[in-house]
Amino acid sequence: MSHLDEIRDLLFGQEKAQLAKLDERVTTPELRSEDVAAILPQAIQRSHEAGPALARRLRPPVDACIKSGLREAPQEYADALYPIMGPAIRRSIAETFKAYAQQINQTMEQSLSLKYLRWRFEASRAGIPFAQYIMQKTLQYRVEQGYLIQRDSGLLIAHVHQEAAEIKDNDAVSAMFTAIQDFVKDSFSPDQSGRLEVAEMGEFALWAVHGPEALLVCVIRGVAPKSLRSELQGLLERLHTAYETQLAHYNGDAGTVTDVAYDLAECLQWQAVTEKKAKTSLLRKPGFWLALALIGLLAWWLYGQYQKSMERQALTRSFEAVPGIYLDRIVNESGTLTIYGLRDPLAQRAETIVAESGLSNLAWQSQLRPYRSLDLPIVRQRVEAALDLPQSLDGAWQADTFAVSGVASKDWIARASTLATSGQFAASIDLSGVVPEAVATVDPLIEFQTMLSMHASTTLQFSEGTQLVEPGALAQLEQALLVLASEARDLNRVVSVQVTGSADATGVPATNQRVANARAEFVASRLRRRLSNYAVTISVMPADLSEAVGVHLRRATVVVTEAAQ
Amino acid sequence: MTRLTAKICVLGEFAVGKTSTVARFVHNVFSDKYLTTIGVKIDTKTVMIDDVELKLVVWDVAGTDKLKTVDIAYLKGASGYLLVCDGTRGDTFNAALSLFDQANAKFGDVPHVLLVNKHDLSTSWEVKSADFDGAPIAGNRIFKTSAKNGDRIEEAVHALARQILANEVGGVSS
Repeated sequence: MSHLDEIRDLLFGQEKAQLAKLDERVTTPELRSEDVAAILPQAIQRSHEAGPALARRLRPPVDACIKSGLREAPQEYADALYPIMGPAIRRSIAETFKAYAQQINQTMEQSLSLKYLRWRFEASRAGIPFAQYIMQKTLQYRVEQGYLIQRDSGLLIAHVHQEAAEIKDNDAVSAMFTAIQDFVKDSFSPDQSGRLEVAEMGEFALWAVHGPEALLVCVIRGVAPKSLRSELQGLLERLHTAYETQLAHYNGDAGTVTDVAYDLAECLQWQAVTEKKAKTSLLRKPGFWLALALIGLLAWWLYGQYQKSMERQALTRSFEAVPGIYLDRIVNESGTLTIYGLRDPLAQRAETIVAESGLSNLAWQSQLRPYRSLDLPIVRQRVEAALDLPQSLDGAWQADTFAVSGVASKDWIARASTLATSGQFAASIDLSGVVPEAVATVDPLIEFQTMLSMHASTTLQFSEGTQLVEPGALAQLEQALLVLASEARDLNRVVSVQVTGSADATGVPATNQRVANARAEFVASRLRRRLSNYAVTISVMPADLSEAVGVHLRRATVVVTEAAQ
Repeated sequence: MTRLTAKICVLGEFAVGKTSTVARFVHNVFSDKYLTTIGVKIDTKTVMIDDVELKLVVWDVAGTDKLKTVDIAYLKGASGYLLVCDGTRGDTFNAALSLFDQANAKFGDVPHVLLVNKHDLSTSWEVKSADFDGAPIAGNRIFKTSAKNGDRIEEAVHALARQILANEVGGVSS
């Protein structure tokens, strides 16, 4: 070591050591890495806070890393993403369905409302697609396209547009706009300082905002607010700040300005029309009249249904009241009431029942099937029809018993007896009052005299006034006298009947006299009526008034004799 | 593949066949009526040079009966230009050279080609080959073309495109 070195060590020994240390840190990659690692998080943080430049720069390498990783180890990425993929997919599906449902709702609403039907008609009349027409009606304004154009060359730097916008050759449009701008400037701005800022045609407007390197041209549908211009101006300024170099030196290489479109998309704004619901009179709303008409129709229909129901009920009541009809149901079949059930052939016809019910204008049809009814009126009809009583017989019903009396041929009696014992009717037939016609083998005179003697004197008991205790007794006497009178006629003889009324001593004698006479007259008149066709003399005898008291004295005595010729 | 866009202008005297020449190689976007209304019409043409797709935005500038500075003004920001003249009219050739001088003076050496048009009528040409030699434009940038049958127009456009790429790619990233 030379003296100089010694002096140097003495003077700068400490600095030399520090320099060596620094040199080692700078030249040794491991140490440098440590240094960078120590400050890298903080540096990233500060850069991120300063603006989006770092993110933009990092995106290409990060993209490359991810692509490479996915290619080489897809399973690891799949495992890492697994916990979030499921929820993300579910959420995405839910959102999609929600949007779809909203779209359906909106479509339904649009399809059904009068306003949208009118728009649909107007769109078809104007030859415009409905979607486009509806957008015109519902959007106050929308920025359809945004062109960022280099000021001098007219070259298109970036272009953004709405999904449905109609796009021509962007580069040509961009250049043409620049040419038109130059044309306007040359033609109408003597000092060349003017700039084309707004152009309007129909529903579209072109808004241009100018920057030192580029101009932003927006194609706007509808009426945009003035505030939009300042927003667009602000956007252009931000683009100039963020892409100063790229804009200034743009040479047509789109690769140098790939990020610009991302930021430029901010210009694609829109605003929906806010519906002003004018307070129009209810009477001027077509919906009101439509609703009124619908309510009227509904009421009319309900009234028709009510009428039908009432008619059905009335018809049901009519059929149910008729004996020999079993009503199952009445059904409205395409406006015609169809009657289902059973009908005895002896019962009233359906046409008659409907006519009598007063429903003559009714549309109806019968589906009644035949059956054998056990309703009493029908049973009675059936019995009477089967017996076919001859003139000489009388019949009377008492509940379900048909009592027949009079004179009948033996053949008829035989037939009637068979019917009575057959049990085919849900009723009894009493033939005890039927007397067979005279039998040829018996002497008519003897028979007459026998019968005369059998009925020589008959006492009929009264309770009060002319009220018979046993009405049947008088009927039997009548029947017997009928036979006797018939026999007498055959024998050319005359029967005499004498009726004597009686009363007991209860009450005033004059009244008793009147009552006794009334009893005699009552019996005599019955007999006269019944025997009017025969030669029978019927006379009322003076009253037999007893001084005793007793119900057995309230009577009439009928004495039958053969009248003298 | 690299995609580039470049503005080129078509300059020349009135009735030398500029529009017919442009119609021979471009994709028409706008109607020709723009030429008569605002004096310029834009079309585009995409050419492939090696692995570069170059989209030329062609500004067809309406010719005038006398030179006007307005023609040159359209060159602002252009990457190149096509000069067109009519071989049957010597004055149009001189006018094209004049335009070239003006462009050169104002914008420097911008890529360019000269199309001497109406080669299908070469027998009645006033412009002679000797005139080309004396011109300030390099011989390999002068093309005898015909808008009528399309002769050498594509070739001229490709030559211009190559010049533009050489100019651009040299200084800017590809």
